[in-house]
Amino acid sequence: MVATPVLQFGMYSGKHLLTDSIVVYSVIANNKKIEPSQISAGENDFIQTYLELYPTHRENNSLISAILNKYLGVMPGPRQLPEHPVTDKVFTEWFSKKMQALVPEPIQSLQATRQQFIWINKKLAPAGIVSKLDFLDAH
Amino acid sequence: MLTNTHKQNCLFYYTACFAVSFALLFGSNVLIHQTAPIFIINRLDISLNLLLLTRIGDVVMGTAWLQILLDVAYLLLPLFLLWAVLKQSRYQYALAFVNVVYNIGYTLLLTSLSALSMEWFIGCILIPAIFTVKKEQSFYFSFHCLRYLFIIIFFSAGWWKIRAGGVFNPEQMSAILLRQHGPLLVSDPDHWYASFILKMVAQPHLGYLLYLLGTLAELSFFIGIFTRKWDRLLLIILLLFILLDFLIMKINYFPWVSFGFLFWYSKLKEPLPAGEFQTSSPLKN
Repeated sequence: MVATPVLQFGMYSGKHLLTDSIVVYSVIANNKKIEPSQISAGENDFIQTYLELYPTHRENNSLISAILNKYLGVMPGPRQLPEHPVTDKVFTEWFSKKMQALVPEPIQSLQATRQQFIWINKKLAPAGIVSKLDFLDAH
Repeated sequence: MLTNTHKQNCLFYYTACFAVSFALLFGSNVLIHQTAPIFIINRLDISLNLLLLTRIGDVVMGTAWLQILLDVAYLLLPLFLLWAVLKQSRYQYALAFVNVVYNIGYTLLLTSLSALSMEWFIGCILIPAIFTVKKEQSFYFSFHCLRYLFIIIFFSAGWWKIRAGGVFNPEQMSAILLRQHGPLLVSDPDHWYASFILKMVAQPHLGYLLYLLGTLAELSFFIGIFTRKWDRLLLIILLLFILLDFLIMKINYFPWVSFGFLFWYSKLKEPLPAGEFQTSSPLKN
């Protein structure tokens, strides 16, 4: 736990192993994959981060709210932290708009997939099936 | 001796770095109005959650004009501060304070409405704070407090790599590179940059050497606690660290360049109290 501006500056400090699997998210717009080599590092980050964060953020928010409410009990004012539910439809609309900036033609359909990879024989090989992200499905 | 001219140079340098950082945010479409956020990404940050208790996050999410106003104010406040300091305005100290408070609130909001890292913005919170003081002597002490603070921040990043064990792991950097560049490595392994990264991953000792050098670079700032003699060297180390972080990891920490003036002007002596002559007199001895 931190309290801005007192932060912990320790990115990539914990142990990471070559045997760890990595997760890669891909976006398919109009039945064509958005290639990471054709977009910027920031745009890649956006895709990876939001597709990873969206399904978990509601659970995390509730969990963090519960922890902080315990400590905020001594403070005056509202006791409960606001929560921020968002529906799949709202997220899909918002994410489609963002992806439109990366695709020249109007987006008619948009899907996303998630797949694990592992480092084996000096290359990244698929480890498991490609799973479609149910929360994102725009036609 | 650290004078008002140096103070103005420090602020000019900070403002220039801030403007570039703002341009980077704007170019990446990640300002609040560009993100047009639909949900808040909460985290274990007490300050953020105290701010969210006011429900400002919900208000900002639902109000487009407010998003633009917040972004514009974030850009303009440092420019107003620079103008006030150059003009020797009596409002400069209040403006510096407003900069600090506003930047804490704005960056907390921005980083909770997008996936940006709060650490990226630490300069725009801490640096304006040293301009809140009136006397040259006070500025000198604030300047050195911030210098020590930055040294602790940078050193602590290296210390965490020891404490969490990353620096004792020979395959650390290779595994990090896979995680950092995964999408590109998977989709286009023949791309020139992907080939370069894959070659580094395939040679964990080379990658580890880089990670070790990065950790040593962070730890080297410890010397700055005891002496200012090596500050220009520390500045070069900082700039190299930021450059390599961008080239190898694609992590852009340009805003931290704004701390550079602390190591450029650190050897300047303490100003004399107001009213004293600046020449030394043998009678004083």
